Amino acid sequence: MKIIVASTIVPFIYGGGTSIVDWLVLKLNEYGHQAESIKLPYSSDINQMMSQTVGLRMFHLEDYCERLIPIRMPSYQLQHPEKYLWFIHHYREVYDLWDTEFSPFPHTEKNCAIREYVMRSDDVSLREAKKIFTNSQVVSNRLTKFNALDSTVVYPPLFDISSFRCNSYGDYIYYSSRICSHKRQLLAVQAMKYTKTPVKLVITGKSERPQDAEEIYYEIKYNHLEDRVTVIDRWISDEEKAKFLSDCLAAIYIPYDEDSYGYPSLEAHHSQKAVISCKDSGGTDELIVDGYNGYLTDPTPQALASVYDEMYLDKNKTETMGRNGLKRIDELQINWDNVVRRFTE
Amino acid sequence: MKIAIVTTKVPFLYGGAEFLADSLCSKLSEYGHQSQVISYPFAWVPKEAILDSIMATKLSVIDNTDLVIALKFPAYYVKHPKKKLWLLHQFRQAYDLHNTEYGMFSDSNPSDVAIRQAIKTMDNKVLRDLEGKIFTNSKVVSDRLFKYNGIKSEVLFPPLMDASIYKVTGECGDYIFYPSRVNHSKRQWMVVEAMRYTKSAVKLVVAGKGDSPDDEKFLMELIEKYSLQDKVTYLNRFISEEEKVTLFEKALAGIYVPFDEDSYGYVTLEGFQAGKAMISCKDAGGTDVVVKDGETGYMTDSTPEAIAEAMDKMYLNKPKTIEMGLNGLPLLEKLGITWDNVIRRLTE
Repeated sequence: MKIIVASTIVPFIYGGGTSIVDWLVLKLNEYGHQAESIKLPYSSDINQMMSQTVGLRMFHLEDYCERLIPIRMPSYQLQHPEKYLWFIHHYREVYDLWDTEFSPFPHTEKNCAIREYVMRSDDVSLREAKKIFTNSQVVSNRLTKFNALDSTVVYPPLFDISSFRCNSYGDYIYYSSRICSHKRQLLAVQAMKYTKTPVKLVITGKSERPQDAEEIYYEIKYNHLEDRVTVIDRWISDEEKAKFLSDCLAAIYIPYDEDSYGYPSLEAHHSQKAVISCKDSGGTDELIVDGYNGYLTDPTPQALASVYDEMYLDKNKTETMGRNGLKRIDELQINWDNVVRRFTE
Repeated sequence: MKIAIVTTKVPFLYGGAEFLADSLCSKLSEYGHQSQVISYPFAWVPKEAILDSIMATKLSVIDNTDLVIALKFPAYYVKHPKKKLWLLHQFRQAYDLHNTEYGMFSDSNPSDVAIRQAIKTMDNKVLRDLEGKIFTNSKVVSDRLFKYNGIKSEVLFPPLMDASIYKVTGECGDYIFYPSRVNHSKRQWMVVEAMRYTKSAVKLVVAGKGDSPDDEKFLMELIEKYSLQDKVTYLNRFISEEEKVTLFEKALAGIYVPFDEDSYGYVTLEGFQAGKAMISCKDAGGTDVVVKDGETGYMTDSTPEAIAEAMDKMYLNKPKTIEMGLNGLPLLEKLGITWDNVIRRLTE
């Protein structure tokens, strides 16, 4: 089948939103389809919102493909008779974040009108879709709440799992992610003050701002945790990461209120390691069942510390939970067979 | 600098324009810029879709970018405070192709007339605003832009993507080399026929896949018909870059004789990079920019006999042929057909 995967981009910004597009295109081709991506620039300037939306509706793709898969908002404004969405998020600043401190827009009359326009035009264009898939239950719930639309969750898998393996269950908890305040590596370190066992912590990832790493270093130094906490503040290769995962006791992923379970959790599970997350981390609770393939704790150093200790002391259970991680990925059908089937059937 | 190269594309097609956009992108990175290609889908069926595509592009906003370099219609409509054009072609159906067999608008259909007029009016406006920042890839495109829109532009010739794989070895063989896709308008058939008229021991190597199996068959039948098997070798397959480099390095000279193209063709540049003189024809289009008769090669009439004569001259006076081959690179330098020049003009 000839398929165009469409998305919007901000030039020179690369991240999860662009990799999911590239990965889907590669996989569709691998499965014998003819797929290509179209990435259109989109400015999040609220004053340009309306005209840009009109622009997206004027492209003609109907003769170029049998199916259109729009991904990042608002690429679903593109028109096509066979539109299958993989909806990954709303323009959240005007939806669920509108009434919170995270929305940069004051509630002026003009902004309120633009918001109304965005929501109404979303209502129209989302309803043109033959099917709406989302990347998480959180996002599906928002579609129900704000747009009164049903959708089906299709979880995004990792592109390549071949390097992930389990070599041993060592003595360290592993946190792999870029270092920033929102991912709360600092909280993971603070927990180490309260542990009663010799459990260790390894953090790898490039810091977004120098002060994020400095805070962590200060915490380590001030509490004399140098022997038990290792921080590697740089970009690490996939193989390095796979090695850390293959020998860790368990993994930890505790961002604040994210939509999805996060690729680090999947990587840990593919390495047969349990994952510690927090109750306020957001989408991780769709993957992690407390006590089965990891733990969902309160976001406090003390609560995390007691989980670290428990995992260290009851290694049998920790190992079982690690192996359950792989089963959990199957239960949720987090694989490309499922993704490709859903979008092409 | 963060530089977005904006262009237009037909989904699932990859051709010369896409290759140039990608080349420019990687060259800009080599020169220390951050660069990204942005391609807008373009449709012309139904004809109203052309106007929709213009509007869609006009309404697109490019954030987080210091400079936009637009390559094609209607990508140059994109909104950005700092925009330059390196125009590969306009929407030719509205201009030079109008009222030819390649045109698409009928003068007796009011809707067609209105659409064509709208394209011209909008082009005139957007291009007028950009005057002074418009480059083209060939003199033909610049001439058209002036003729139809009254807009002045500067020619900025596209250099070879990766010249570093070529070197001047000083080897000088006995064959003329023609690497290219094989089809009627590239006129490999005319070069094969020329081999009937050569008087020296000069040989010919043609390399490249046919656009269709018939194109290949036609060449092979010609070779057989005139019993040219000893003098002509046809490699009817895709040849790798390495293979092409080697074949150029061992050649006596190169030849590139398409019919009426806009540009000089990368083949001529490749020949010069390998230190080889080039043969081309007076009606080949843009090749006369780089193939200077008696200086960097020979420009002949487009007849087998005339080409044969040039080939014999190449073979019989090898010192002159070698000298002409070595004149190629300095000429490219002089004409500004170098990435140094292109990047400087587009980013200054």
